[in-house]
Amino acid sequence: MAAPDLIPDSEGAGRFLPWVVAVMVFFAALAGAAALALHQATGTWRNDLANTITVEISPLDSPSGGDGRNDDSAGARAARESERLAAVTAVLRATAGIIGVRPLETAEIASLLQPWLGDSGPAGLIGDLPLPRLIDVQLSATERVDLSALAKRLAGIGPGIRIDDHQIWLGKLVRLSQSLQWMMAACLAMICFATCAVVIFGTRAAFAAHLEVVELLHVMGARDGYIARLFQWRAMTMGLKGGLIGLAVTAAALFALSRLAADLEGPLFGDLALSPFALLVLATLPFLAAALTALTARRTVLRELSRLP
Amino acid sequence: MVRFENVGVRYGVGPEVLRDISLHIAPASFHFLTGASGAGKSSLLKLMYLALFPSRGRMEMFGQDISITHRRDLPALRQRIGVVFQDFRLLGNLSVFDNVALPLRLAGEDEKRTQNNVSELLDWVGLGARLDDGPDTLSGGEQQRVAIARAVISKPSLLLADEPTGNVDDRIAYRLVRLFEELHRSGTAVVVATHNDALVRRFSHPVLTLNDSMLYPASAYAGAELGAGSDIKAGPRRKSG
Repeated sequence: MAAPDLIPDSEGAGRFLPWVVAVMVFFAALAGAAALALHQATGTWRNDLANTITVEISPLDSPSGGDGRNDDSAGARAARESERLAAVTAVLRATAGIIGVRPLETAEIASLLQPWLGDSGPAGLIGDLPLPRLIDVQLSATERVDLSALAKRLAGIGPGIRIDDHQIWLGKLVRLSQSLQWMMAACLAMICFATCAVVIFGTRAAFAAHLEVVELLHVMGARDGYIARLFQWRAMTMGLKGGLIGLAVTAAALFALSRLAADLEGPLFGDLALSPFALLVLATLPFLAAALTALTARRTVLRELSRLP
Repeated sequence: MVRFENVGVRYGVGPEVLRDISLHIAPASFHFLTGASGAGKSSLLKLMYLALFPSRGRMEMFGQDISITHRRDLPALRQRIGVVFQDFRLLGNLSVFDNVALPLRLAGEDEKRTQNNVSELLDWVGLGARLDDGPDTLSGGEQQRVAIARAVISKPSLLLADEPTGNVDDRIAYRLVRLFEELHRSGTAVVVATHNDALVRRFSHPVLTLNDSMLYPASAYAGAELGAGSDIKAGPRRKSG
C-alpha cells in the first residue's frame, strides 16, 4: 500500500515544511556556492603561482643613480637599465630549473597600473613614474630552483633586484579564502541544524495529529519501522519538493550574480566562476535535503513510538 | 494463551485501576467480560491486546512472559490478536476494502491472497458491494461489520471485542454474538466485553466480572452459569461486606 494513504497530508504543521526547506536550501546553496567558488579559486591561484616568480628590477635613482654616479642623462640611465635587464635575464636563462623568462614591456606594466591611475598614456602620469622592470619567470614543475642562491646571484648584478615568489600575498589570500570557507561551512551546519529542528517540530505535530492512526497500526502489529516509514516518506516528498524550489531560486540568483561579476572584469573574479563539478554538487542539494528531512523524521517518529508500549 | 497472575495496573501515580487480576484464557475459549462503566473492562482488554503493560504482576501472552519479551517481538504477538473497538476506529481515508485488508498487509501477506480473502469476507458480512466506499458513507451497523471483518481477517488466535453491542439493538447484538461464536468454533479464543447482562444470560459462556478494579468469576458475582471447564483458574475473593 502506498504510504500516503495511511498518513494523509495534514492541514497544519506539515504544510509549511516544503517552504522552510526551500528557504534553507536557498541559503545552503548560496553558502555552498561561495565556499566551492573560493575553494576552486584558491586552487587556481595556487597552481598559477606555484611555478612562477617575478623578478623586480627597481629603477635607477635620479639624479643620483643607485650605483653612486650622479652625472647620468636620462638616455644613459635608460641604457644602463637595459643592460641590467639583459644581465638579469641572462642569469635567469642560465639557471637550471627555469623554463621561461619573459621581461614585461613598459606598456604592459603601465596597463597593470591603469585601473588605479587611469589611462593617461605615455605622456601622462604613468609615463612620468619611475616604473620598475618586471620579469615573469616560469619554473620547472619537476626541477627545484634554489631561490636563495638565485637571489644572491641577482644581487651581484646590482642593487634593487629582488625576487617575489608571491608567497606572502598568496598566503594572505589563501588564509582569507580558507576563513571564508570555514564560515560558509559553519553556515551550512547551522542551516542543517535549523532544518532538522523544523522537521522535528513538524513531524511531532504530524505524529500528534495522526496519533489515533498510529496507535491503531501499533495495536494491529505494525512494526516501528513500518510506521516510521510512513512519516519518513511524507517528509522526504516535502523535503524534495522544497529543495527543488530552493534550488530553482538559487539558480536564478547565481545567474544574476554571475552577470554582475562578469561586469567587474577583475582578474580574481574570473576564477570565482563555478566549475561543472561545483554545479553538480549544488544540484544534489535538494536530494540531500530530502534525505536529511526523511532521516530526521524517521528518528523523531521512532523516538515518539518508543513511548508507546 | 493468556495468563495473568496478580496483575495490577495504575496510570502514573494514580490509584490502581486493576488490582490482583489473575486469569487464564485457554485457546478456543469464549468469555464474556462484564462490569459497570469505569470498572476497568477497557483497561483489561488493553492489557490483553498489548496496548498497556501491567504495573505489577506476571502477564503471559501466547506462552511468552511479557515483562521479558523484547519490544521488537511484540508486533508478532499483536498480529495474533484481533480487536473490535467500541468506536470501530476505521480509517476514514481508506476504502472499506483497504480497512479490512490492513492487518494482512501489515503482516506482509501476498497481495493476491489478500484481495481474495478480503473480498470473500466482505461478501460474508454482506458488504461485498461496498468495497470501494469510504467508511463515512456506511451506516453504524455496516461500520461495525467492517470493524469485525478487519479484526478477524487474519484469523487471529485471540479476538477481543470492546462493547461491540453497545450501539445496536438487542436483535443485532444477539446476531453479533452468534457471529463471534462461529469464529470461536473455528478455533479462535474470544473475549467480549459488554455491560449488557441480558445478552450475556442468553448464552452459556463463562463470564468474567470486573468490580471495584478486581476480577471475579461470574458464578461468584454475576450469578450467570459458568460453562463447563471454565478457564478461570483463580480470581480474588469477593470482598465481604
